[in-house]
Amino acid sequence: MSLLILVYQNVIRMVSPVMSFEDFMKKIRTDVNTDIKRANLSVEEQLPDILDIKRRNMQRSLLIDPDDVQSHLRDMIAERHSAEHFLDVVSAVRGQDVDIDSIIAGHRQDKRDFLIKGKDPKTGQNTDDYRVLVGDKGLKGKDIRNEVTQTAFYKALNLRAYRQKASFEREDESGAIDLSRERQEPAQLDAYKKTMSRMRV
Amino acid sequence: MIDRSYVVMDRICGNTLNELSYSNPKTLDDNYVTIAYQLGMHLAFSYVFGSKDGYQTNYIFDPTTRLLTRIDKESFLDLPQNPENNFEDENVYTQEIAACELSNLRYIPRFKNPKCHRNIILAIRQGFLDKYGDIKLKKRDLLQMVMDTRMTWLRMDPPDDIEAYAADTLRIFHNIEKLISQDPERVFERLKKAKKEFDKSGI
Repeated sequence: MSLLILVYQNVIRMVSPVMSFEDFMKKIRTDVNTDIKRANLSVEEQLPDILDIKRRNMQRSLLIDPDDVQSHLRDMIAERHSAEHFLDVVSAVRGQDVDIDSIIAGHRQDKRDFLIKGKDPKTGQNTDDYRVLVGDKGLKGKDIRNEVTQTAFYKALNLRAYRQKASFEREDESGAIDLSRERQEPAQLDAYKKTMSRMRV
Repeated sequence: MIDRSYVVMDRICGNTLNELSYSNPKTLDDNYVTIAYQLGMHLAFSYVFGSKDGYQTNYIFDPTTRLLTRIDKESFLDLPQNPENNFEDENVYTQEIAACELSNLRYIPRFKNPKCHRNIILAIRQGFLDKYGDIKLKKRDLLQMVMDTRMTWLRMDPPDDIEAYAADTLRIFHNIEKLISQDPERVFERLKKAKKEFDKSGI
Protein backbone atom coordinates (compact mmCIF):
# COMPACT_ATOMS: atom_id res chain seq x y z
CA MET A 1 0.00 0.00 0.00
CA SER A 2 2.75 2.43 0.99
CA LEU A 3 4.56 1.61 -2.23
CA LEU A 4 1.42 2.47 -4.14
CA ILE A 5 1.14 5.82 -2.37
CA LEU A 6 4.77 6.59 -3.12
CA VAL A 7 4.31 5.78 -6.82
CA TYR A 8 1.14 7.89 -6.87
CA GLN A 9 2.92 10.85 -5.22
CA ASN A 10 5.76 10.68 -7.72
CA VAL A 11 3.37 10.55 -10.66
CA ILE A 12 1.53 13.58 -9.31
CA ARG A 13 4.85 15.41 -8.87
CA MET A 14 5.90 14.60 -12.42
CA VAL A 15 2.72 15.63 -14.13
CA SER A 16 1.83 18.61 -11.95
CA PRO A 17 2.39 21.74 -14.02
CA VAL A 18 2.15 23.95 -10.94
CA MET A 19 5.31 24.61 -8.98
CA SER A 20 5.14 26.44 -5.68
CA PHE A 21 6.80 29.85 -5.59
CA GLU A 22 9.27 28.57 -3.02
CA ASP A 23 10.33 25.71 -5.31
CA PHE A 24 10.49 28.05 -8.27
CA MET A 25 12.66 30.45 -6.27
CA LYS A 26 14.94 27.58 -5.28
CA LYS A 27 15.37 26.64 -8.93
CA ILE A 28 16.09 30.24 -9.94
CA ARG A 29 18.75 30.55 -7.25
CA THR A 30 20.54 27.45 -8.47
CA ASP A 31 20.19 28.26 -12.17
CA VAL A 32 21.31 31.88 -11.88
CA ASN A 33 24.42 31.09 -9.88
CA THR A 34 25.43 28.22 -12.17
CA ASP A 35 24.81 30.24 -15.33
CA ILE A 36 26.78 33.24 -14.08
CA LYS A 37 29.69 30.99 -13.17
CA ARG A 38 29.69 29.56 -16.67
CA ALA A 39 29.36 32.97 -18.32
CA ASN A 40 32.20 34.41 -16.25
CA LEU A 41 34.68 31.70 -17.22
CA SER A 42 35.90 33.75 -20.15
CA VAL A 43 36.64 36.76 -17.98
CA GLU A 44 40.18 37.18 -16.75
CA GLU A 45 40.65 36.21 -13.14
CA GLN A 46 43.05 38.76 -11.80
CA LEU A 47 42.97 42.52 -11.65
CA PRO A 48 46.26 43.16 -13.52
CA ASP A 49 45.09 41.18 -16.55
CA ILE A 50 42.04 43.35 -16.83
CA LEU A 51 43.90 46.54 -16.22
CA ASP A 52 46.60 46.76 -18.80
CA ILE A 53 48.09 50.18 -18.29
CA LYS A 54 51.14 51.09 -20.24
CA ARG A 55 53.58 52.85 -17.96
CA ARG A 56 54.49 55.30 -20.65
CA ASN A 57 50.90 56.35 -20.88
CA MET A 58 50.22 57.08 -17.23
CA GLN A 59 49.12 60.65 -16.97
CA ARG A 60 47.04 62.75 -14.66
CA SER A 61 44.45 63.65 -17.23
CA LEU A 62 43.08 60.53 -18.83
CA LEU A 63 40.10 61.51 -20.84
CA ILE A 64 39.10 61.91 -24.39
CA ASP A 65 36.61 64.66 -25.05
CA PRO A 66 33.16 62.99 -25.42
CA ASP A 67 32.41 65.29 -28.32
CA ASP A 68 35.38 63.89 -30.19
CA VAL A 69 34.90 60.19 -29.55
CA GLN A 70 32.81 59.45 -32.60
CA SER A 71 35.30 61.03 -34.94
CA HIS A 72 38.14 59.42 -33.02
CA LEU A 73 36.68 55.92 -33.40
CA ARG A 74 35.76 56.60 -37.00
CA ASP A 75 39.37 57.55 -37.69
CA MET A 76 40.52 54.30 -36.16
CA ILE A 77 38.12 52.34 -38.29
CA ALA A 78 39.03 54.21 -41.45
CA GLU A 79 42.66 53.55 -40.72
CA ARG A 80 42.49 49.91 -39.76
CA HIS A 81 39.14 48.73 -40.99
CA SER A 82 38.92 45.43 -39.14
CA ALA A 83 38.22 45.09 -35.45
CA GLU A 84 41.03 42.57 -35.21
CA HIS A 85 43.41 45.47 -35.17
CA PHE A 86 41.91 47.11 -32.13
CA LEU A 87 43.92 44.86 -29.84
CA ASP A 88 45.53 47.58 -27.77
CA VAL A 89 42.37 49.27 -26.70
CA VAL A 90 39.33 47.17 -27.43
CA SER A 91 38.83 44.07 -25.34
CA ALA A 92 35.30 43.90 -26.70
CA VAL A 93 36.39 42.64 -30.07
CA ARG A 94 39.65 41.07 -29.09
CA GLY A 95 40.44 38.11 -31.28
CA GLN A 96 37.26 38.42 -33.29
CA ASP A 97 37.12 39.23 -36.94
CA VAL A 98 34.44 41.87 -37.23
CA ASP A 99 34.04 44.51 -39.88
CA ILE A 100 32.76 47.70 -38.35
CA ASP A 101 29.88 49.33 -40.17
CA SER A 102 28.97 52.32 -38.12
CA ILE A 103 29.07 54.00 -34.74
CA ILE A 104 25.90 55.47 -33.37
CA ALA A 105 25.05 57.33 -30.18
CA GLY A 106 23.70 55.26 -27.27
CA HIS A 107 20.84 55.99 -24.89
CA ARG A 108 22.53 57.85 -22.10
CA GLN A 109 21.36 61.38 -21.48
CA ASP A 110 24.92 62.57 -21.05
CA LYS A 111 25.70 61.24 -24.55
CA ARG A 112 28.77 59.36 -23.40
CA ASP A 113 27.82 55.92 -24.74
CA PHE A 114 28.06 54.61 -28.27
CA LEU A 115 27.14 51.49 -30.11
CA ILE A 116 29.53 49.98 -32.62
CA LYS A 117 27.64 48.05 -35.27
CA GLY A 118 29.55 45.34 -37.10
CA LYS A 119 29.33 42.47 -39.56
CA ASP A 120 30.93 39.05 -39.68
CA PRO A 121 33.16 39.37 -42.78
CA LYS A 122 32.73 35.70 -43.68
CA THR A 123 28.96 35.51 -43.57
CA GLY A 124 28.10 39.17 -44.00
CA GLN A 125 25.67 38.79 -41.08
CA ASN A 126 25.27 41.54 -38.54
CA THR A 127 26.97 40.86 -35.22
CA ASP A 128 25.62 42.04 -31.88
CA ASP A 129 26.40 45.61 -31.02
CA TYR A 130 29.40 46.64 -28.99
CA ARG A 131 28.81 49.29 -26.38
CA VAL A 132 31.33 52.00 -25.71
CA LEU A 133 31.28 54.31 -22.72
CA VAL A 134 33.43 57.38 -22.74
CA GLY A 135 34.79 58.83 -19.52
CA ASP A 136 33.22 61.80 -17.82
CA LYS A 137 35.56 64.72 -18.29
CA GLY A 138 34.83 66.05 -14.83
CA LEU A 139 35.93 62.86 -13.10
CA LYS A 140 39.43 62.98 -14.56
CA GLY A 141 39.68 59.28 -15.30
CA LYS A 142 38.29 58.01 -11.99
CA ASP A 143 35.19 56.62 -13.68
CA ILE A 144 37.24 54.61 -16.16
CA ARG A 145 39.43 53.37 -13.34
CA ASN A 146 36.40 52.40 -11.23
CA GLU A 147 34.73 50.62 -14.10
CA VAL A 148 37.60 48.27 -14.83
CA THR A 149 38.71 47.63 -11.26
CA GLN A 150 35.26 46.43 -10.21
CA THR A 151 35.40 43.48 -12.58
CA ALA A 152 37.67 41.47 -10.29
CA PHE A 153 35.17 41.95 -7.42
CA TYR A 154 32.29 40.90 -9.64
CA LYS A 155 34.10 37.75 -10.61
CA ALA A 156 35.10 36.94 -7.02
CA LEU A 157 31.46 37.27 -5.97
CA ASN A 158 30.02 35.41 -8.93
CA LEU A 159 28.18 38.42 -10.28
CA ARG A 160 27.95 38.61 -14.05
CA ALA A 161 31.18 40.13 -15.32
CA TYR A 162 32.37 40.89 -18.81
CA ARG A 163 35.70 41.44 -20.45
CA GLN A 164 36.72 45.00 -20.89
CA LYS A 165 39.79 47.03 -21.17
CA ALA A 166 40.45 50.64 -20.47
CA SER A 167 42.80 52.51 -22.63
CA PHE A 168 44.68 55.18 -20.74
CA GLU A 169 46.52 56.96 -23.43
CA ARG A 170 47.61 60.50 -23.82
CA GLU A 171 50.28 61.71 -26.09
CA ASP A 172 51.67 65.05 -27.08
CA GLU A 173 52.19 65.97 -30.68
CA SER A 174 55.81 64.82 -30.69
CA GLY A 175 54.83 61.47 -29.13
CA ALA A 176 57.18 62.14 -26.23
CA ILE A 177 57.06 59.82 -23.26
CA ASP A 178 56.63 61.29 -19.80
CA LEU A 179 59.62 59.69 -18.09
CA SER A 180 59.36 61.85 -15.00
CA ARG A 181 56.27 59.97 -13.87
CA GLU A 182 57.96 56.61 -14.41
CA ARG A 183 60.78 57.72 -12.18
CA GLN A 184 58.33 58.97 -9.57
CA GLU A 185 56.34 55.78 -9.22
CA PRO A 186 58.65 53.62 -7.06
CA ALA A 187 59.18 56.46 -4.60
CA GLN A 188 55.43 57.07 -4.32
CA LEU A 189 54.72 53.41 -3.78
CA ASP A 190 57.43 53.04 -1.21
CA ALA A 191 56.19 56.07 0.71
CA TYR A 192 52.64 54.70 0.61
CA LYS A 193 53.67 51.29 1.91
CA LYS A 194 55.64 52.85 4.76
CA THR A 195 52.77 55.17 5.66
CA MET A 196 50.29 52.30 5.59
CA SER A 197 52.35 50.10 7.88
CA ARG A 198 52.86 53.02 10.28
CA MET A 199 49.15 53.88 10.31
CA ARG A 200 48.11 50.29 10.85
CA VAL A 201 50.39 50.06 13.90
CA MET B 1 47.95 67.14 -26.16
CA ILE B 2 45.65 64.37 -27.44
CA ASP B 3 43.65 62.28 -25.01
CA ARG B 4 42.58 58.87 -26.24
CA SER B 5 41.38 57.14 -23.10
CA TYR B 6 38.15 55.22 -22.83
CA VAL B 7 36.62 51.91 -21.78
CA VAL B 8 35.34 49.41 -24.27
CA MET B 9 33.21 46.63 -22.89
CA ASP B 10 32.84 43.08 -24.07
CA ARG B 11 29.86 42.28 -26.20
CA ILE B 12 26.78 41.92 -24.04
CA CYS B 13 23.63 40.54 -25.61
CA GLY B 14 20.25 41.86 -24.58
CA ASN B 15 18.71 45.20 -23.77
CA THR B 16 18.62 47.58 -20.85
CA LEU B 17 15.61 47.42 -18.52
CA ASN B 18 14.67 50.80 -19.86
CA GLU B 19 14.70 49.63 -23.49
CA LEU B 20 12.74 46.48 -22.63
CA SER B 21 10.07 48.42 -20.79
CA TYR B 22 8.89 49.99 -24.05
CA SER B 23 10.19 47.62 -26.76
CA ASN B 24 9.46 44.25 -25.16
CA PRO B 25 7.71 44.45 -21.76
CA LYS B 26 6.64 40.80 -22.10
CA THR B 27 10.27 39.74 -21.61
CA LEU B 28 10.29 41.59 -18.30
CA ASP B 29 7.04 39.95 -17.23
CA ASP B 30 8.09 36.47 -18.33
CA ASN B 31 11.30 36.71 -16.31
CA TYR B 32 10.21 38.87 -13.40
CA VAL B 33 11.41 36.55 -10.64
CA THR B 34 14.90 36.00 -12.01
CA ILE B 35 15.29 39.70 -12.80
CA ALA B 36 14.22 40.68 -9.28
CA TYR B 37 16.48 38.02 -7.74
CA GLN B 38 19.50 39.28 -9.69
CA LEU B 39 18.69 42.90 -8.90
CA GLY B 40 18.82 41.87 -5.24
CA MET B 41 22.30 40.42 -5.72
CA HIS B 42 23.52 43.65 -7.29
CA LEU B 43 21.84 45.70 -4.58
CA ALA B 44 23.95 43.95 -1.93
CA PHE B 45 27.13 44.66 -3.89
CA SER B 46 26.20 48.31 -4.44
CA TYR B 47 25.47 48.81 -0.75
CA VAL B 48 28.65 47.24 0.60
CA PHE B 49 31.08 48.57 -2.00
CA GLY B 50 29.58 52.00 -2.66
CA SER B 51 28.80 51.35 -6.32
CA LYS B 52 26.12 53.88 -7.15
CA ASP B 53 24.04 54.75 -10.22
CA GLY B 54 22.39 51.33 -10.62
CA TYR B 55 19.69 52.83 -12.82
CA GLN B 56 17.45 51.05 -15.33
CA THR B 57 19.74 52.12 -18.18
CA ASN B 58 22.68 50.44 -16.47
CA TYR B 59 21.24 46.94 -16.33
CA ILE B 60 21.16 44.73 -19.41
CA PHE B 61 18.94 41.65 -19.47
CA ASP B 62 19.57 38.85 -21.95
CA PRO B 63 16.38 36.78 -22.49
CA THR B 64 18.40 33.85 -23.89
CA THR B 65 20.70 33.32 -20.90
CA ARG B 66 18.30 35.07 -18.51
CA LEU B 67 21.24 36.88 -16.96
CA LEU B 68 21.24 40.46 -15.80
CA THR B 69 24.44 42.43 -16.29
CA ARG B 70 25.32 45.66 -14.56
CA ILE B 71 27.14 48.07 -16.86
CA ASP B 72 28.67 51.53 -16.53
CA LYS B 73 30.02 50.99 -13.05
CA GLU B 74 31.65 54.35 -12.80
CA SER B 75 31.22 54.75 -9.08
CA PHE B 76 33.14 52.50 -6.69
CA LEU B 77 34.20 52.56 -3.03
CA ASP B 78 32.09 55.70 -2.69
CA LEU B 79 31.20 55.00 0.92
CA PRO B 80 29.48 56.83 3.76
CA GLN B 81 31.60 58.50 6.44
CA ASN B 82 29.80 56.62 9.22
CA PRO B 83 28.18 53.35 8.13
CA GLU B 84 26.64 52.97 11.59
CA ASN B 85 24.38 55.92 10.75
CA ASN B 86 22.89 54.05 7.78
CA PHE B 87 19.96 52.83 9.89
CA GLU B 88 18.85 56.32 10.84
CA ASP B 89 15.82 57.87 9.17
CA GLU B 90 16.61 60.16 6.24
CA ASN B 91 20.10 58.68 5.91
CA VAL B 92 21.46 59.94 2.59
CA TYR B 93 23.65 56.95 1.67
CA THR B 94 20.86 54.40 1.91
CA GLN B 95 18.51 56.77 0.10
CA GLU B 96 21.00 57.15 -2.73
CA ILE B 97 21.41 53.39 -3.16
CA ALA B 98 17.71 52.60 -2.78
CA ALA B 99 16.54 55.39 -5.08
CA CYS B 100 18.31 53.84 -8.08
CA GLU B 101 18.31 50.12 -7.38
CA LEU B 102 14.79 49.68 -6.01
CA SER B 103 13.27 51.94 -8.66
CA ASN B 104 14.24 49.34 -11.25
CA LEU B 105 11.40 47.11 -10.06
CA ARG B 106 8.90 49.61 -11.43
CA TYR B 107 9.98 48.73 -14.96
CA ILE B 108 8.56 45.23 -14.57
CA PRO B 109 4.88 45.58 -15.59
CA ARG B 110 3.79 42.82 -13.20
CA PHE B 111 5.07 44.84 -10.25
CA LYS B 112 1.65 46.53 -10.28
CA ASN B 113 -0.12 43.19 -9.81
CA PRO B 114 -0.51 42.64 -6.02
CA LYS B 115 0.32 38.90 -6.11
CA CYS B 116 3.34 39.39 -8.34
CA HIS B 117 4.37 42.44 -6.32
CA ARG B 118 4.74 40.22 -3.27
CA ASN B 119 6.77 37.63 -5.20
CA ILE B 120 9.01 40.30 -6.69
CA ILE B 121 9.80 41.67 -3.22
CA LEU B 122 10.49 38.13 -1.97
CA ALA B 123 12.81 37.50 -4.92
CA ILE B 124 14.81 40.71 -4.61
CA ARG B 125 15.10 40.15 -0.87
CA GLN B 126 16.35 36.60 -1.44
CA GLY B 127 18.94 37.79 -3.97
CA PHE B 128 20.06 40.48 -1.55
CA LEU B 129 20.41 38.06 1.38
CA ASP B 130 22.18 35.43 -0.73
CA LYS B 131 24.79 37.84 -2.06
CA TYR B 132 25.26 39.54 1.31
CA GLY B 133 25.91 36.09 2.79
CA ASP B 134 28.45 35.43 0.05
CA ILE B 135 30.17 38.75 0.79
CA LYS B 136 30.36 37.88 4.49
CA LEU B 137 31.85 34.51 3.64
CA LYS B 138 34.55 36.06 1.45
CA LYS B 139 35.15 39.05 3.72
CA ARG B 140 38.89 38.51 4.17
CA ASP B 141 39.64 38.09 0.47
CA LEU B 142 37.46 41.03 -0.48
CA LEU B 143 39.12 43.34 2.02
CA GLN B 144 42.49 42.32 0.61
CA MET B 145 41.18 43.11 -2.87
CA VAL B 146 40.19 46.56 -1.63
CA MET B 147 43.79 47.14 -0.50
CA ASP B 148 45.11 45.85 -3.85
CA THR B 149 42.71 48.12 -5.71
CA ARG B 150 43.89 51.17 -3.81
CA MET B 151 47.47 50.23 -4.66
CA THR B 152 46.55 49.89 -8.33
CA TRP B 153 44.85 53.29 -8.29
CA LEU B 154 47.97 54.80 -6.77
CA ARG B 155 50.11 53.29 -9.52
CA MET B 156 47.77 54.68 -12.16
CA ASP B 157 47.61 58.16 -10.80
CA PRO B 158 50.03 58.85 -7.93
CA PRO B 159 48.50 61.34 -5.48
CA ASP B 160 50.35 64.41 -4.31
CA ASP B 161 49.53 63.78 -0.66
CA ILE B 162 50.50 60.22 0.22
CA GLU B 163 49.50 60.62 3.89
CA ALA B 164 45.97 61.68 2.94
CA TYR B 165 45.70 58.86 0.41
CA ALA B 166 46.80 56.29 2.99
CA ALA B 167 44.34 57.67 5.55
CA ASP B 168 41.59 57.43 2.95
CA THR B 169 42.52 53.81 2.21
CA LEU B 170 42.20 52.94 5.88
CA ARG B 171 38.85 54.72 6.14
CA ILE B 172 37.54 52.78 3.15
CA PHE B 173 38.88 49.51 4.54
CA HIS B 174 37.24 49.98 7.95
CA ASN B 175 33.97 51.23 6.51
CA ILE B 176 33.64 48.23 4.22
CA GLU B 177 34.46 46.00 7.17
CA LYS B 178 31.63 47.63 9.12
CA LEU B 179 29.18 47.37 6.22
CA ILE B 180 29.96 43.68 5.76
CA SER B 181 29.35 43.05 9.45
CA GLN B 182 25.86 44.58 9.40
CA ASP B 183 22.70 42.47 9.59
CA PRO B 184 21.51 41.97 5.97
CA GLU B 185 17.83 41.67 6.94
CA ARG B 186 17.99 44.94 8.83
CA VAL B 187 19.83 46.60 5.94
CA PHE B 188 17.20 45.43 3.46
CA GLU B 189 14.39 46.83 5.58
CA ARG B 190 16.26 50.12 5.90
CA LEU B 191 16.72 50.29 2.11
CA LYS B 192 12.99 49.75 1.60
CA LYS B 193 12.26 52.55 4.02
CA ALA B 194 14.89 54.78 2.41
CA LYS B 195 13.18 54.29 -0.95
CA LYS B 196 9.86 55.41 0.55
CA GLU B 197 11.54 58.45 2.10
CA PHE B 198 13.07 59.32 -1.25
CA ASP B 199 9.75 58.94 -3.07
CA LYS B 200 8.03 61.11 -0.50
CA SER B 201 10.63 63.85 -0.91
CA GLY B 202 9.49 64.17 -4.53
CA ILE B 203 13.02 64.68 -5.86
